[in-house]
Amino acid sequence: MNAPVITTTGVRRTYRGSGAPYEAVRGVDLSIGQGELFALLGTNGAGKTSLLEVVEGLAPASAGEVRVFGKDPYADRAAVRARTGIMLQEAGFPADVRAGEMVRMWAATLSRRSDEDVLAAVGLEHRAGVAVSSLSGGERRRLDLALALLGRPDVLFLDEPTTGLDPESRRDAWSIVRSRLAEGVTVVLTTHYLEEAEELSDRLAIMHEGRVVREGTVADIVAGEPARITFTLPADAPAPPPLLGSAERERGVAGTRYVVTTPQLQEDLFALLAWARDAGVVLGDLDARAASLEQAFLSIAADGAAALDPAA
Amino acid sequence: MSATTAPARPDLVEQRPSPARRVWALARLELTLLVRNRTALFNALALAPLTVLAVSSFLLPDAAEGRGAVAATLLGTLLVFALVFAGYYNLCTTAVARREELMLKRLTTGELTRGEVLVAMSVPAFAVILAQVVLGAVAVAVLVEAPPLRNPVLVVLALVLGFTALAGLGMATAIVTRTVESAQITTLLPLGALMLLSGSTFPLDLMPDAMCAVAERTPLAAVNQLMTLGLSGIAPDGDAVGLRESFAAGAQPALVLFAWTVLAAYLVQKRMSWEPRR
Repeated sequence: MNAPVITTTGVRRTYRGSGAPYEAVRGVDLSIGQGELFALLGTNGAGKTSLLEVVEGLAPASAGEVRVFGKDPYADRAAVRARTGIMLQEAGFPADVRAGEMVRMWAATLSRRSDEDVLAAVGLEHRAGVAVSSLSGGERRRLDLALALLGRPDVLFLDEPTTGLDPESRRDAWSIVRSRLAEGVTVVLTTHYLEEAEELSDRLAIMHEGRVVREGTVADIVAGEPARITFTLPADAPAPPPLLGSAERERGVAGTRYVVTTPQLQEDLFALLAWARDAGVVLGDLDARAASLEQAFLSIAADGAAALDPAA
Repeated sequence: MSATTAPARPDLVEQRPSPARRVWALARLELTLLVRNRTALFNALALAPLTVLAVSSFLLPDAAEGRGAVAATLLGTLLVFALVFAGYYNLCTTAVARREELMLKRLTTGELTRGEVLVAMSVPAFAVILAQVVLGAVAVAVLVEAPPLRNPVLVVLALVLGFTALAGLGMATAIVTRTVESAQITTLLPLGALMLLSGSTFPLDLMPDAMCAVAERTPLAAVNQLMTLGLSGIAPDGDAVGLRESFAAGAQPALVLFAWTVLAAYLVQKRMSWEPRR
């Protein structure tokens, strides 16, 4: 990891309303290096957006310390904000405003000015004169991204940037993010699309109930998760090898479908193939794959309480 | 931790715009939106001359004090109405609308400070009130008589301090207003009280002493007093005063407006929500 541009130490965020206080972020330590794409994942209500708002300087931390470029993003707002671009999960526009007017207004308030046509960068150059109320949801999301890119920030905060985008627009957005990464921009991303995090991120953290329960590269995160082998055996096949003893079975017309979860993919797959060859059995619909980020995520979501227990 | 520096960006010009430039950027957008809304624009600009026309038609026949006094009263009343509707009510609904459509939340992500956003949002309302006063003055001059002007500084103070106080109170009312529709309810009581105690709809000297003392400490009564002093040179006690005495007599209403502005600013800073309440 390059020198850190963002650090959080023991960050907590508590909402105090008319009811009992609610602690949305419960002591988060993170360090994000320059030029890195760091993805923040978690179930709904895990505390991602609450944490992100503190790091962006939109809200103060209830406890702990946040530093962006070595400064407190809430207290030293002016200094930090000039170098950051923020795309919120939810932000609106006055209905009558036109896309081009919004970009011109936003650009005139920024410290950094460049000749880049951000509307063209997000594929909206032909919609500059259109009222925001006439833009589709995906186009509005792209306008959000355009405003975050204005001023060519050193750090981009993208809170679920591709929600509502069609697959092609999503790919285009990824391409823009990659081009910024290539320029040394640091990107902090939250997303519900796990393949997006898997495809783009250098490192990621998974939050659950206000805490970071896993952090590292995609390989680090999935390392503890079992791999999966699936295949179908014909009804008249001989007895399967012992490794299939704990496999899930599902009888169907074509035979019995086996789902084997294993921490040692290579050894078990080799043993299975050797057995099939010796027994002269064809393994129907054979599929073997290492654990995915989705699997790791689902396992954390399902077993959150255990993941939070240091003794577990 | 060592802070990193930004990568070299030869294509970038980096200079923080002045607060005035940032405010103007947003204010210009708000003005564009106002001009685009033809109905709002018509109401904003035509209301003043039409009000003057309507009120002058039944004030003029009884103009025992002379047409100059009627002209001054009309202009003072016009400013009071403009501050209430184009200032107080309009800025309450604007703040709520911008919050509900999540524009306020968006603006917090940029380099504009919260104070700058509120000032920029007020610019169209101030422009409308200024236009109403100018158009109203022209209408008064044409239909009645050119209004007298004993102390222009107090007239400007009435306009500027009155607007600041009423704009602040409008935004403070937005704190307890969830939707644009509910603004009709939350503004009703303050609006009625402000108008009743302003001296424009009911003469203050006909009120009981205690109520009159309270009324003199309300913002619109203070605006009315400043306007009367500035235009006719008549002090709140009814005496005609010279230029120097008018400044002394104007100090109290000016302080009243300043106090309301400070109170409103405190409430807005402490309590105003920048995103819809969940």
